[in-house]
Amino acid sequence: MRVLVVEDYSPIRLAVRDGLAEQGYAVDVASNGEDGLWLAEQNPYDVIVLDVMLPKVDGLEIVKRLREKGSQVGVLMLTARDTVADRVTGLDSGADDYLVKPFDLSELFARVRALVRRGYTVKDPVLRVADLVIDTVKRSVKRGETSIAFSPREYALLEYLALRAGEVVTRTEIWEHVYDFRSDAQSNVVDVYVSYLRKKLGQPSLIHTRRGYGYVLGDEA
Amino acid sequence: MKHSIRTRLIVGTVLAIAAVLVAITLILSGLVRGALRDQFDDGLRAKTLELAAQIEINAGEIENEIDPRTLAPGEAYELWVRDKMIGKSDDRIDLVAVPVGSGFSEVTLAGQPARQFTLRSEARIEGGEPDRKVPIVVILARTTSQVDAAAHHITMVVSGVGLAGLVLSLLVVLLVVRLALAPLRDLASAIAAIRASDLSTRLAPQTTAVELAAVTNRLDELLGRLGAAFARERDLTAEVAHELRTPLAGLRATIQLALDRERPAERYRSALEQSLAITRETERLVASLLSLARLDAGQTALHATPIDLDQLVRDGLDKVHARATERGLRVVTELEPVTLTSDRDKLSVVIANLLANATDYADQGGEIRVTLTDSVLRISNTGCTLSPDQVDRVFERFWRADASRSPEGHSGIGMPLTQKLVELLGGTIAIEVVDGRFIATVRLPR
Repeated sequence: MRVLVVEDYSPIRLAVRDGLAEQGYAVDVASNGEDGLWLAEQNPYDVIVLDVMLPKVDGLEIVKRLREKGSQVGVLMLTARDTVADRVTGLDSGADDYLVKPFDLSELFARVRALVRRGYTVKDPVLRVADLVIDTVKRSVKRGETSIAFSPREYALLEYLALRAGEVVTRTEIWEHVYDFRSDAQSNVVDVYVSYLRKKLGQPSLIHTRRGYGYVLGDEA
Repeated sequence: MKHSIRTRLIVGTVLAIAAVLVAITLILSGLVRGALRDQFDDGLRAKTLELAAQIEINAGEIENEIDPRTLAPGEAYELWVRDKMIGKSDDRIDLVAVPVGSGFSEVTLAGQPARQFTLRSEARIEGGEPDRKVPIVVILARTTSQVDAAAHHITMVVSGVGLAGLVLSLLVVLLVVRLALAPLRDLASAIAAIRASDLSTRLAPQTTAVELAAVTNRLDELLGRLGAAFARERDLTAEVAHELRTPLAGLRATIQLALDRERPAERYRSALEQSLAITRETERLVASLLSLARLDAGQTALHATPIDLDQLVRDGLDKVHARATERGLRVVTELEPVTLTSDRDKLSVVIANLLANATDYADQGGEIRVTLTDSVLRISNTGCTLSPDQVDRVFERFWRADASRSPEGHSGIGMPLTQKLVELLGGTIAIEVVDGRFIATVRLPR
């Protein structure tokens, strides 16, 4: 899942970026509102973690402009202001959720996960596809009774496919949601990772190729 | 002594009424007594004349022709002819004539207070030489008990009426004072209802008394000012909390991330270094806030020493040299030697704040100009995008042009603190923007 972090205070920006990356997210960052808005408009992020007080364009303005253009991205506002009026203003400008500084990183991760699920209209944090069970909180995967270990990038790819189980997912979409700007850009990297997944998931195969389109995760479709 | 207005009004009014009533009572009873005495005296004189008329002197024979039966109880008389007492009503009673002429006098009759009338007259002697007259003195005394009793009765009646009037007027005064003081009471309860947490209450519309308008209007103004001051205080506190929360959030996120899992030693080291940097930044912020609070409270003492101002400015420039180089800034200085007596530490803070602002807010590759002539220090930088409205706000606490923390380390209290310090040093500071150049001019007393 791909997340954009817009925060001008570098200690928070870097800690949130590194923390989310360790959770398997593809993370991009911006340190001012102008860059943040531009990135948000150019890329299909699943979640934006957005500070309210930003140089150039503030967080409230960014959400408003994104919503005006029909963006459905999940927005988690970060702010040091904790009055009811501030929270109401934040949510009413189009944010999905609100977190007051100082916050706990684990709470931020949980809220980001919830926003990701909401983006794919999933409520259960445990994803089930055929006999495959993915616990998105523990980030553990079982097929039947067998636990399977994945690298962070493999897990991210599997979770994305599972969130969209039964749908055809294009390589571009995978690229946009699983990789950030720091990733090595190799044209066949998606195919390579899909083949890793196929190998680890075993038989019968759950990932099916739709030639010319992309991949589908699920029972034989 | 503190007396309530109510007590003062009641006591004052009642005393005045009582004084008037007492005066009226005294005058009335005096008049009545006077009238009664006049009447008594008229009667006494008339009877004396009547007695004198009864006296007949025939050919040298003087006869007591006064019939005792004509005397009423409580009356006594003496009759003298040619200085010789001829007759009296009672041997036990001696009456004393007034020394000369006729007239009234006070006497005691059988232990009773009485008045007597002495009549000096002449009696015609009939039968003898024609028209020969003999001087006679008739004294008639009469007890005054009856008239005294009447006067006493009337005095009692008048006093009783006066006392009743006093009681009645006391009740009326109580009622009137109560009604008259109602607006004061309402005002007092309105004031009592004001809570520190809600200073939006206004008193003026709640009182109808014109006399209180001046007071209530003043109180309303005061409430308005207090409310504004409280609101400003609340805003400032919220700002302080916000300013402290941001670095705390950074610290917490940095530490939590480091502790999230086992990491190589250099990761811990960098997390600790980052935490230390945040702590130092927060310390600076807290120190600035504290200085500002102390300046506000007037608790800052000055330690004046002779200072080479140009050297102090050079020291300040040395400290921002690295940052200026990093941002590619050109630093132009024109420093005349200036010596003055001032507080070195506070002046250093002023110079450091202004130089830090210039270094951080100048455009990349821009210019900083520092000039010192005759105790006027001017620090300016290019690349200023502030509007005239915004320039007016640079001394507001926590105000930043774009409501963010960038460039990092500027919390929006540097300029207010600088202004306060310059004023404490007896100088002035002015800000202007000319052709995109932000110019701070500090004038110090020599």
